[in-house]
Amino acid sequence: MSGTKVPASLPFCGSFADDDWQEAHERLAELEDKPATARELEDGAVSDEMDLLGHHEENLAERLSKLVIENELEDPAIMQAVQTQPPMQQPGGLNSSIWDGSAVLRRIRGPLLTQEMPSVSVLEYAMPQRPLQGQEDERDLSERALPRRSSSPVIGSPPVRAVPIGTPPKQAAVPNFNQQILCPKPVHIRAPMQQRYPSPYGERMSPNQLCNVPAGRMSPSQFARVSGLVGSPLTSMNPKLLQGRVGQMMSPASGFRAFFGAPPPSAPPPSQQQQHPPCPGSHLQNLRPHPQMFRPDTTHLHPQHRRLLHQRQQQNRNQHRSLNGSAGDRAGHRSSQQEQLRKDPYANLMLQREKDWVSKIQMMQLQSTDPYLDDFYYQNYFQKLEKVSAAEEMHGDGPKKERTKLITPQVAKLEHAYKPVQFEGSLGKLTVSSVNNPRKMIDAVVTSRSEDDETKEKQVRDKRRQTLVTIEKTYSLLLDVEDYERRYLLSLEGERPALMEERKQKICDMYDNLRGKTPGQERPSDDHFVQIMCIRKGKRMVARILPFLSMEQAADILMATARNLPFLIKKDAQDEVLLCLLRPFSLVLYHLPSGTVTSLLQQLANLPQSVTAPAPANLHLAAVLQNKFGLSLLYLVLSRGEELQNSNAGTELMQDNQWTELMSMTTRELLRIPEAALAKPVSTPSNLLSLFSRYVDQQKLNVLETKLQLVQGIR
Amino acid sequence: MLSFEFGLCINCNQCLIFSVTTNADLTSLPEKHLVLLRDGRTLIGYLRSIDQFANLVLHQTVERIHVGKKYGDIPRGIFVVRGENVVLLGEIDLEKESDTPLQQVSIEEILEEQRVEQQAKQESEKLKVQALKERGLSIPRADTLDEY
Repeated sequence: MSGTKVPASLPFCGSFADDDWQEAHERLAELEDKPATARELEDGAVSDEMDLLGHHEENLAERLSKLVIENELEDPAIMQAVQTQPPMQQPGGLNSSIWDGSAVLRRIRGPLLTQEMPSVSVLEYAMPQRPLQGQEDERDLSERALPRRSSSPVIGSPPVRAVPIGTPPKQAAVPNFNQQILCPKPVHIRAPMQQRYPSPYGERMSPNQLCNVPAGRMSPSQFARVSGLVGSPLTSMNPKLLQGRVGQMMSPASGFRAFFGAPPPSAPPPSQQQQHPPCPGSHLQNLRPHPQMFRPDTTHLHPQHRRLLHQRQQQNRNQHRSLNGSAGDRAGHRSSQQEQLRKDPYANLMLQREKDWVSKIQMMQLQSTDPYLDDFYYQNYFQKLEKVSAAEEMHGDGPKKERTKLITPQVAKLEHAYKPVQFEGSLGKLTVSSVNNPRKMIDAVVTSRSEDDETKEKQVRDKRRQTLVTIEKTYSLLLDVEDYERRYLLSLEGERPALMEERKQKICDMYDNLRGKTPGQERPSDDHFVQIMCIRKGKRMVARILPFLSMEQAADILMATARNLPFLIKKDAQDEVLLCLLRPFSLVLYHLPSGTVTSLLQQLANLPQSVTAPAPANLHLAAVLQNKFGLSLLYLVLSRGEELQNSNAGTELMQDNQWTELMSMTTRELLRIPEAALAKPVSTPSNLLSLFSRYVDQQKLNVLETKLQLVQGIR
Repeated sequence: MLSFEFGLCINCNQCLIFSVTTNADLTSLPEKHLVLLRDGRTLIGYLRSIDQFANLVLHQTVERIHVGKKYGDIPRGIFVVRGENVVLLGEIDLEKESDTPLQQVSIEEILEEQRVEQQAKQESEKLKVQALKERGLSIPRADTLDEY
């Protein structure tokens, strides 16, 4: 039946050659027929292969673990590593290494358990809890309970820890739970230092275990170097370990007091510590890797941040130096001990490598070819700041504050040629729809509605929607035009004329949009414009467009506004956005010739071309006067008129009948309107008084003066 | 130990950009950080780990509740915070930490104060809703609104 006797030292997996499995399978089938008693006769320890074949699967795991442990004990290599002293004499001995056989460890388990150290419980779980191997062989294996799932260190998941990683040992003495946890006081708690077994599995150790090796600063990857030293130097390092551990003990332990109810054990006398300072110190020097003064790459940091960091480093270095340089061996040594006490054992949990990786990802997101497009607000904000600081510098104070900004990497955008995904093994090219390569999924047919079907409401709604669309289109044109200046500066010489052309074209388009698309020579209706002006965004947009328009175009806009002012005022009642137009209007007015000003006033007053008998009350004008914007605009126009009259070309205006007519009309209205109904203008131009003095007598002038508060100081 | 710097990510308004550096000096004190979460909680702890989503690992975390001029700390242990819930994260200047006009009180007291404050807020909110209802208006509550 069992042809080959496989030596026990070979691992289980290797005992099966590929061609053997069929044989083994047959054997298994045969074996199952055999009576159970036959199995018991076999020497379980020897023919492992047979054992595994001869048992049900549920015992398999159990046998596997047994196999492994047996291997350890019988493996000559391992046995050599075990200390010469018999295992029984090392219950609490520090000299046993982690590579001792499991039997050794199990002996030690007892005393260790009383101190409930997590690393021991690891081992406890790693090895099945059973007495000596020899006794088990006799027993019926099928009766044995299944070991825990994760018992085998070789196969399966890593061992379950009863206590989660990161919990400090219970030995930490916590004086007071209510103490501020985050600022550990350097209380000299001397916890009894028992042997601590770093996990045999981990490359990454928990900080608890890290502190066993006194160089708590070591990163996990450096553990490998130290593991070999765990055995012998442990004794001499013992007191040093205490010292090294105290600081870190305080911080994690006190935080976790809630989890552990154990009272802190008594501390060994402090004298123990003072006897050994020099010896472990030297060990420390040997063990601890050379503290790398690696300078991390800080170029991607904000310059202020970088400065802060360096400053802090300098400070700490100075402190450290001053501490170490203090007189007296002992004093110096103790202060360096205190320094270590304050060191954070959890520092550098993140490796530099990992931090760089995260930074790299973040910086990748900042890459852009057109920062103005991608990061508009950031760029604009810093531009504003620069302007302010430049203005400050102009005053001769020099740069007050260093406003430095993060230098983001500027990467040229690579042209990604889209390659449609190809499937292997498919006949022909399969069409796969993706973001880069959209495919038509539904055949949707657009049916346009006939005019008759639409109801009035729909028409109105559609019209409004159309206006909104027009506004949006014009707005994008506007943004482009505003951006041309910047592009102009960035572009090459040859490109500039082309840019100018584009800009002009866009301005024309904007204007066309505003006034309605070329309805012929005359623009019969202001309708389109008025619709735009009814919408808040439209008004704002017009205000922004005005500076770009030519003089005629701008005047045209002004006229249209004045013409329809009452209507617009009515519509603006809620928003009060018309006021934003004042400034660009005034700028335009400044350049207008007298004739235009006259017509403008005419529009405001809403008089037909030919002079007719004045109506008792001019409703148009009245409405204008009662509105803040209207009144302000009127004042601006009047003020401009006055300016013109005062200037050389003023005679022209003086002779203009229309102007005189309009003025008298205006003054009449102003006198008529009750003061309460009069709106409060944004600003009252100073030359109005002189303007009115030309057209009204003194008495009326006085009335106007008080009413309109034309004289400064009367408020 | 870990130092951070923040800026707005250009592509996605929601995620934070930060750059992580180490303090090369190994003898320095660890740096405490203050995290503000989206639900309004303030956590203070030693930041041990961070990733590109701003998921945080905070060590010896303390949740600080502020009510008026008083505050109370509840020790919480280790926190792992999912990045999307972080509003802001900043380093605490250890020297200036004690230099605050706020007064620290015990946990029970601060929880009591918080409860009182919540109650007062709820009552005033109720009154407001009542008054609005009488006038025929209704303001939807913030938590019933969509997030966007």
